[in-house]
Amino acid sequence: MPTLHTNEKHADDFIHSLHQLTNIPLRKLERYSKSNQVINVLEHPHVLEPTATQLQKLEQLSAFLRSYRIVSWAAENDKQTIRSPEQAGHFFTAYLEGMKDHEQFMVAFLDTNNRIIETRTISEGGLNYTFVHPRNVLKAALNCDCASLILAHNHPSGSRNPSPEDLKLTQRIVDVFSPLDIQVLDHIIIAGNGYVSLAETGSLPRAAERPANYEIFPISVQEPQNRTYQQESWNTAEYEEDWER
Amino acid sequence: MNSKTIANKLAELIDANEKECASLEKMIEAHGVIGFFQHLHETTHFSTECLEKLRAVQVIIDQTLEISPLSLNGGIEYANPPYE
Repeated sequence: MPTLHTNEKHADDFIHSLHQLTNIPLRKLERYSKSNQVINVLEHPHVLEPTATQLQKLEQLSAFLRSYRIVSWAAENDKQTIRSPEQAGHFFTAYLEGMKDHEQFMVAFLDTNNRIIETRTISEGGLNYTFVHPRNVLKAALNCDCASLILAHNHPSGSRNPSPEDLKLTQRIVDVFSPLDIQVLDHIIIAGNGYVSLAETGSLPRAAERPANYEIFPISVQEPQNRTYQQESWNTAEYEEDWER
Repeated sequence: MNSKTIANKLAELIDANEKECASLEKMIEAHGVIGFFQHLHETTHFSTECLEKLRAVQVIIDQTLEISPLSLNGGIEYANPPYE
């Protein structure tokens, strides 16, 4: 089967390249790749328990790949405009794809021609949550005199469902910006190798519903409804006692 | 993101020396970072070890970035804003 051979060759090349750049032993990478996707090593750099130097190389490689994606996007979009959810999805994928260890909330601020004035990371959180301070989004928007903005964050779990908090946060941001005639064009969620656009799914609020509320807002990834495993309840009191000893 | 920033990141990754770092910057400025990798076979500015590492970076780029992100919904354009 030619496809299988091609895939094996690709995996082999990938492993050798990773070894060359990070010094992670070839045998360790090969053993891991027998039952795992070797790309995990980039997305979850601690998975092979690397040494400090190997970890540093993995982080440098990820940082370079992210920069490469951003520069590639800019080269393909020389006017740096975002006119559709597809362009927004590609743009934010450059920043957030492969980020599996924490949630990051970003905003692109656009001028009247939908040209990007500035892209900013507003907050970084944990594995399945982050906190957004609408005041910080407002401050950045006014500082760069934007006419519209696009929100984005990643779901490290790869979940493609906007959580109820994602939808509430979007409404909250619309409530803040609508009275100022600054349009919220979209909220992009980067999930796995794809993205979801609230504008495309028709879930983007069009108008303010309430007076602006600037309180800090938590967003988290919605867990699938059909989970089989029961999550263990975490008895914090027991551990707190341990800490006190 | 300018050529210097991306050249520095690449230089750090491949442990390039000062001279090689300057060459990286010059070549990335001339060809862009995508063009740089396309012109890699023409270059004589790098040590064998550095060149091998650059080829390794190219393999990883080709294999991790070849897939375009998929929209999980349909395809639309943003409505013209009222200010236009």
